[in-house]
Amino acid sequence: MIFSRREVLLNSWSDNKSRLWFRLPTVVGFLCAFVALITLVGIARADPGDELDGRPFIMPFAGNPGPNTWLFIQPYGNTTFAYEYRYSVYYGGQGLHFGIDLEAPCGTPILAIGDGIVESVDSWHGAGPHNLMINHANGYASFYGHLLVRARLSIGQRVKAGEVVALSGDPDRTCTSRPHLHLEIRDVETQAIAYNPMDLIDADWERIVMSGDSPVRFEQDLANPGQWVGLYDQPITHFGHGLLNDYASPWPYDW
Amino acid sequence: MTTLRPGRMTGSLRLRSHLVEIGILICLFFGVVLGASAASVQQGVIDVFSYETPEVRIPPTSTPGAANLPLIPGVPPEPNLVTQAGCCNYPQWSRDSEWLLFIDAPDGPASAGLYGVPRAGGPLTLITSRVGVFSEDWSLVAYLEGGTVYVERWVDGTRWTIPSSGRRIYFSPSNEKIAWEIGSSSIQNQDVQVRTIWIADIDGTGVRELVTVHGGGFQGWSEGGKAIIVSGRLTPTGPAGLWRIRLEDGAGRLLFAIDSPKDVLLSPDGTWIAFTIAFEKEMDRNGLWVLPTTGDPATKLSQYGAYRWREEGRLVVIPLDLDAPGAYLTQFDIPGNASWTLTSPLFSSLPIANNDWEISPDGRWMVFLSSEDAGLYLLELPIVKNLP
Repeated sequence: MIFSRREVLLNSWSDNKSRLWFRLPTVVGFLCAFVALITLVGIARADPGDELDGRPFIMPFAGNPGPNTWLFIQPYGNTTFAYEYRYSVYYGGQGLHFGIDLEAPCGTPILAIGDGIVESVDSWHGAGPHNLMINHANGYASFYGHLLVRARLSIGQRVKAGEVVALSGDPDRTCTSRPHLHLEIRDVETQAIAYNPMDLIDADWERIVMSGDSPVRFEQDLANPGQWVGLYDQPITHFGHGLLNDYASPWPYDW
Repeated sequence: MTTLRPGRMTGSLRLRSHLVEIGILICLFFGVVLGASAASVQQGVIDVFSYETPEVRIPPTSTPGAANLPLIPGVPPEPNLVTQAGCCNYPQWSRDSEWLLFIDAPDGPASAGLYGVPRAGGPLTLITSRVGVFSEDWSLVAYLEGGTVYVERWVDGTRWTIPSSGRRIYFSPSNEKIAWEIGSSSIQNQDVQVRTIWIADIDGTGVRELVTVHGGGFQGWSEGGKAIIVSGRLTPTGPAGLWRIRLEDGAGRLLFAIDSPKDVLLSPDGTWIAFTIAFEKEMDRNGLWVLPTTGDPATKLSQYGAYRWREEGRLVVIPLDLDAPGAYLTQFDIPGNASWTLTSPLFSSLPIANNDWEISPDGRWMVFLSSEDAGLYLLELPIVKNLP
C-alpha cells in the first residue's frame, strides 16, 4: 500500500494523537500528584500562623499583674540588658532577648498558652533549672524556662490552653535572687526561630508594662535611633546567626 | 504483525489505561482528602486559637481609682502632639521645662545627636552632637570613648578624664561630685553581688572609695549631694534595706529594712524615695511606698503602677489597673496626706507606649510617647495645690 505524503502525515498525526490521548491521563496524574505534593510541602513550610488573624495565645499567668501576683520585667528583643550580654548569654540569640520575662514568686502556677502536645521536659534548651516545651497545632512552640521543679508531664501528652503545666522558679535557685518565668515562642519545625510573644499573646501589653520608675529600655543605634525601640517593633530571632545589634555607636554605652 | 489503527488500543493497553485512570482517581481522591484535611487543620487552628479582643466598657462608678480618689474638677486635659509622629523615644525635660530633649538622627547617621523641640512648639533643633549622661543642669555630659570616661562642658568643648575604669558616672545635683560603681556585673545571683561605690570631685580628682554594698547598689543623690542613697547590705550578713550614706565620713543610716526594693526613684531634690515591694510573704507590705530621706516613717500608697515625682513629696502614679478602660493619672501628696485622680480614662486618652513618660521639673507638664503614632505628646497636668 502506497500512501501519499499527506496520508502519511495524517496517519502519523492520528497515531501521535492516539498516543497523546493515551499519555494525557498519565501526564495529568503526575501533574495532579506534583501539585498535591507541592501544596502539602508548602503548607508544611509556611511560617507558623501565616493564616492566623490576631493573637492565638493566652497569658501564662492567671489574673492581673500586681505586686502580689506577677509583674512584667523584660520584653522580647533588642533590650539594653540583652545588649549588655550580647557576647555571652545572648550571643546565640543574635544579641536579642528572645523571650519575655515575667517576675513572679516561686511556685506561681504557669498556664499553657495554647492547646498543644508536650514536646520536651528539661531539654537542652537552657533557661534552667527546669524547662518545658509545648508544640501547638498552628506551627508555634511555647517554651517555659526557669521552672521551680521538673514539670510532671510526659512527652506527647496533650494539654489545653489555660491548664497548669508548671511552677515558676528562679534561675539562681534561691527564690529571692530573680524569680521569674522566661517565656519564648519558637517555630515547631526547627525550634531555631524565636518570635516576639507580644505579637502572639492576646494581652494589653502597653498597659501591662506600666509599672515602676522608668521606661522599658531598648538599646539604640545612634545611626538609626528609632530602630527596634518599641514593644512590637522587634526582629525575629534566628538562633545561631550573627549579632543584630553590635552597634558601632550604641546608646547606652558599653560601660 | 499487528497493525495498530489510529484510535484503537489493544486489551493490555486498555488495561494500562484504566490502571492509569484509577491511579489518577486515587491521586485526586487523596489530594482532595489531604488538602481538605490540611485546610481543616488550618481552619481548626483559626477557630481554636484566634481571639477577638473583648470590648471593655466599664461604667465610671466601677473604675478603680476613680472610685477611691476624687477627680480634680475642670476641663479634662487632652494631649497635644509636639513632635512628628514616629520621631523619637525616651524624652527628657530641660531644667527650665521649656524644652523636650531626645536622641535623634533626622538626616541620617551623620546627624545623630541630642535634639530638642520647644515645649510651646517649634522646629527640631540640634542641641549637641555629643550623646551621653548629662548633668542635671545639662551643662556637662559624660561619655565613653576608647574605654575611658570623659566629662565635657559641651558649650565650649572643654573635657577631662574620669578614672572610673570606663564605668558610667552619676553627677551630683550641684555638679560638685561624681559617683560610680565597680563590682559584679555578670548575670549571677543578685543576692551575692558586691559593688563598691566610689566618689570623686567633678574634675576627677579626690577619688575615694565610699561604701561597699552587697546585693544592691547606688540609687541616687540626697541632701543636695552631701549624701547618697544605696540599697543592699553594708556588710555581708548585716541588715538589708535602703540606706543613706554621708559623703563626709561614709556613715550609713538604715532608712527602711527590705531585702530587695524594686524601682527605687529619688525625688528631684533627693528628699523622698519611692520604691516597690513585691512578692513578700507578708502581703500587706507589697505595693508602692514613699520614704523621706530624713529617716521619718515610710508610707504605703493605695495605688500601685508606674510612677514619677511631680515635686518634692508629690508623686504621680499611673495605676496598673487593667480593668479600667484606659490609663489614667493619680497624684499622692504625702506631706498633705491627700490624693486625687488627675485624669479619668473616660475623658482623657493616654495611649502611652513603653511606659515612656516624664514630668517636667516645674511639675506642670507631662510628656509621653504615644502607642498610636509613636509621637511625643504633651499633657498639661491639673493643678491641685489650692484645693481644699
